[in-house]
Amino acid sequence: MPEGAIRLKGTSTEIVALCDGVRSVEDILIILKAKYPAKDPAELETETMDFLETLRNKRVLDF
Amino acid sequence: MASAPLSLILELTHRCPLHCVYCSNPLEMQARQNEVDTETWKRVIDEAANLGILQLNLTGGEPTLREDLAELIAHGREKKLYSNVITSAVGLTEEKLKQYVDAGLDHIQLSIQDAQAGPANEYAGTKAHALKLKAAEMIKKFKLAFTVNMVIHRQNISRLEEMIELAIGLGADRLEIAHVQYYGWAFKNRALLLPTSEQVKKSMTIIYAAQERLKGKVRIDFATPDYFAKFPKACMGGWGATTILIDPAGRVMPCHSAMVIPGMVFDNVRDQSLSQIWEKSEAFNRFRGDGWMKGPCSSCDRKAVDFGGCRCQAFLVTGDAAATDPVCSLSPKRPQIKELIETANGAPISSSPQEWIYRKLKDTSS
Repeated sequence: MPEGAIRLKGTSTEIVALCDGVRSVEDILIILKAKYPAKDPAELETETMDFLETLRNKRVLDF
Repeated sequence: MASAPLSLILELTHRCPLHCVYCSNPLEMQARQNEVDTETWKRVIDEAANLGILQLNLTGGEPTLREDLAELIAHGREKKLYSNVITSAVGLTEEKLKQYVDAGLDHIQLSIQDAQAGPANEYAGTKAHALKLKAAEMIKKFKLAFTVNMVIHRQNISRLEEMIELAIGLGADRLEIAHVQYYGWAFKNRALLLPTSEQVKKSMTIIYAAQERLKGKVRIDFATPDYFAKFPKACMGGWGATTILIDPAGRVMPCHSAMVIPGMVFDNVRDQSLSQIWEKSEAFNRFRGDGWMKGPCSSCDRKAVDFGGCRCQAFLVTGDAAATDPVCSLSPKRPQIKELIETANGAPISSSPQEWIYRKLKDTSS
């Protein structure tokens, strides 16, 4: 990204890796839910959306 | 112990068609015959990638004056660096831009001096404004992250809203609004550039409102006017902590104005490897960490937040590069800054081309 860098850790790295310009947000949520069945799906969705929103506000990605 | 640097700034040349009154290049500029050659720059890029650097910033002067710019971008891409070209756009053709994009350029930054041609050309010391607007159209034809850089100061700050509108209209993905930083040529022209407290206050309101309004659409980054702040900026994220800057002659520096500090010796990429310089050089180690600090910094809670501020500013204002940055409210030298602001607040706001000191390369053969 211009004039900066984001240090990713844990699941944030996985989420960014899933953002390939082809998958939709829904696709990504389905993959994450399948990978983390023990996690409350609503919570997973909120946290993922918050993270994507943060990236959008930094203008790193659009969705 | 040196951490891994993140960003490499190559000042490929000091040659520039612009003569901006706040230019951040040093007062003593390097002529063309002293510029580092392509092969050395490529070796430097290899060494930077090995050091863990992520970003390759290609700037100047005007970097597009270098015939090898596309080659250097391609080399950066090969080493998986994020590349950024910072340009005045004077001399930038669609053909050149295509070469850069084909070589793997990720991001371009275009400087615009004002919303209106008259004052923009006055501050740039050349008639470049109309050309810049055309260049923005050209940039938008390519798949390229696009930042508009705008420097604000005493003379143009009243047109800030208009400037933001212009940048949005040009299709910027990101807008960088920076108050003038008083080094180099800007330090020479400080009296004409330093805004009033009222101007600064108003500009902050405008910027915060624009950031809110454009959230998720255009990112606005804002460099605060540190003379008006309570605490200093965390200059360069700490001395020798994240960034390496190399001047056209190959001298390696912790920041673009470090040569103002007396006694600084800069090692050269022509003689040594980048990692050797980053880890061992006297210049990078001089203010690394906090061992060099005196009071009030040495016992301050904020020393890990702002690292004592800016060493160059400390020297320029107080004459001591190891002093607390004088913009800090805890600095015993703060009254000097206060006095400057009071003078700025009391003086009339106007400028004319005759009043400015314009930057010029001494060597006109280049």
